[in-house]
Amino acid sequence: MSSHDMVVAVYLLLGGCLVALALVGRRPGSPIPSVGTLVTWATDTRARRLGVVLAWAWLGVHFFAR
Amino acid sequence: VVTDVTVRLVAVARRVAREPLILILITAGIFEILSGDPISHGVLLFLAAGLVAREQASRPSGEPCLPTERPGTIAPILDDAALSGPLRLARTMPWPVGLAIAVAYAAVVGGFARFTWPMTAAILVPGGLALAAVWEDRSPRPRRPEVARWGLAVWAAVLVALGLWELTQLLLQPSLTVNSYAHPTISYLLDPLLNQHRIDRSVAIFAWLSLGWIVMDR
Repeated sequence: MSSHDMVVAVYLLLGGCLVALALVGRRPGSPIPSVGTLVTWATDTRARRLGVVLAWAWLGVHFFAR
Repeated sequence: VVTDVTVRLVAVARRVAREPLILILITAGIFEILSGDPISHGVLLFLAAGLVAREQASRPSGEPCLPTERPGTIAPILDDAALSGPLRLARTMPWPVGLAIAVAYAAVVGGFARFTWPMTAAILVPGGLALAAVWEDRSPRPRRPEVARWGLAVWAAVLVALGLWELTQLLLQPSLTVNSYAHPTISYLLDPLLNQHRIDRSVAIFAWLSLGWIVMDR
């Protein structure tokens, strides 16, 4: 297994964990918060919400914009 | 004068320590610039960190919160009339209409090449509108939902692991500005997909818009 393959495998593993957490979080009564709950929790003040929206905008800029 | 500066620096350091989001945004901004991306991209992150710090400083004891419908639920009791115009429109729009707009937008914009002015404009328009809507919105934020600490810890662990793994690959490159096949970053892995195939760009833009919708809808 090359270094490239191992790095990609870890990315896939962590990405799979995120998907699994999102799915488990959707089950009623789950102790794992859903993505929506997590966002609400993380944006409980105007400041944090501004920061998260700007971070989201940066994602688009980073991958697509000049 | 030195004492005054020291006091101010200590106050800034305390604020940063209290708000991890500021530290995350500053760190990301520094590496964005060091890795050779346009300065404007890093400045956007520094701007975000500055806005968060400024807002936190103006509300040292926290903002008034709205109660959620019941502990542990995500649905805040929000008065749509108190929201800014764009947010009220987004919240009251039937979801199939929003979905159709997002799909059509992603399909059209996917036809633009990356890092061109048309693509830049197509990204800045929704990004700018979202930021303006949140900036204008003065309605109280919903109170933090009650969630299990270990549930949050699991999310944090995976996200931090992903961030550290990405940072490790960036630092293992020949230099911060030279990509490496052996130690690919997420950007490096996505480049071939997003450069060559229109459909991949459309899917990525739709995913980005969807993420923005989730953030704006909370």
